[in-house]
Amino acid sequence: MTIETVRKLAKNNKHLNLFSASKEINGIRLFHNEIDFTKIQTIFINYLYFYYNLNQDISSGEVTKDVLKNEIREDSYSIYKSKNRDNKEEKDNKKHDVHLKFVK
Amino acid sequence: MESKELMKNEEAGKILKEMNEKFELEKVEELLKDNKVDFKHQDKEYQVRLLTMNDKEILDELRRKKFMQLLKDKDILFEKDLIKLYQEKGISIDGIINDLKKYEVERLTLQLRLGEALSKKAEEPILKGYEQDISILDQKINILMIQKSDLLTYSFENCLMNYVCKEITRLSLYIKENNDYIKAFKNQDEFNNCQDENLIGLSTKYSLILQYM
Repeated sequence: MTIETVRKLAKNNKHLNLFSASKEINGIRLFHNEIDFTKIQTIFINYLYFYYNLNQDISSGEVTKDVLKNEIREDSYSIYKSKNRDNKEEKDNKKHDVHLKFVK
Repeated sequence: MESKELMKNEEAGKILKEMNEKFELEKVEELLKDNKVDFKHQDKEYQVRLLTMNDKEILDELRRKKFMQLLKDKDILFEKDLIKLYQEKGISIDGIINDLKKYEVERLTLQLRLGEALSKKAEEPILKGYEQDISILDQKINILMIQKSDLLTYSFENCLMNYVCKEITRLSLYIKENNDYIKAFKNQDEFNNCQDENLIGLSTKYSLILQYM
């Protein structure tokens, strides 16, 4: 229940806007404490990143607003995207591999 | 007439649920921002706070003592020994763990398919189909997790964790007296003898979110 609540709060525009602003403007803070974040605060920040990225993808047309219909869709899209990114990175790394041949 | 009454009840239930959700959202928001939460209970004002360094030292000492006490208790088994004992009685926790792994792999496969469908802007019925399948798997996973945790309720690890949670609650809870917050319980006995289950339930929830989650 609590994780769901934290997630709901992170999805809320008020918090997302505050999060975006805090990334750009110094002095805007999400919490009273600046260091020593509790576990729940860390989870909240992770979800803020999660929804920030989802909204970026919606803005750039990579996915439609339908992704925000429920958590199953949000998670699935995010997992798919990160898997794709991993695959792409692996391919890129292979391209850059140097194969040396030793000639006698 | 009866259906009208039923509708009224349903509506009242819905409103109550929404109010509870709103209350929960406000409290968690407060807790995230300030690392403390205030609440009223039976006309008294309470506060749940993060543990101080001193509280943490007390907690460590209590945990150590409880650990040794449980270790000496021959009736309390470690999870791994409890699993073996269940196996002898024909109950396979390893079987539950294997089923869980299997369902989790199935869920991941479906999530990847749904993710791909979303990024390819597939039709709504296709998305709904995957969603339903994932939701069914989630239910199966939840049932298995509950079964596993029920079977291991009395393991050494769980007994120690329950004790620590109880102590965290006791140490985190404050009550307002003469405009000042003081510890709500002076000692373990006072806490253990508290009859107010609602107060304990609420403060356990908030203190564990703050310190442990």
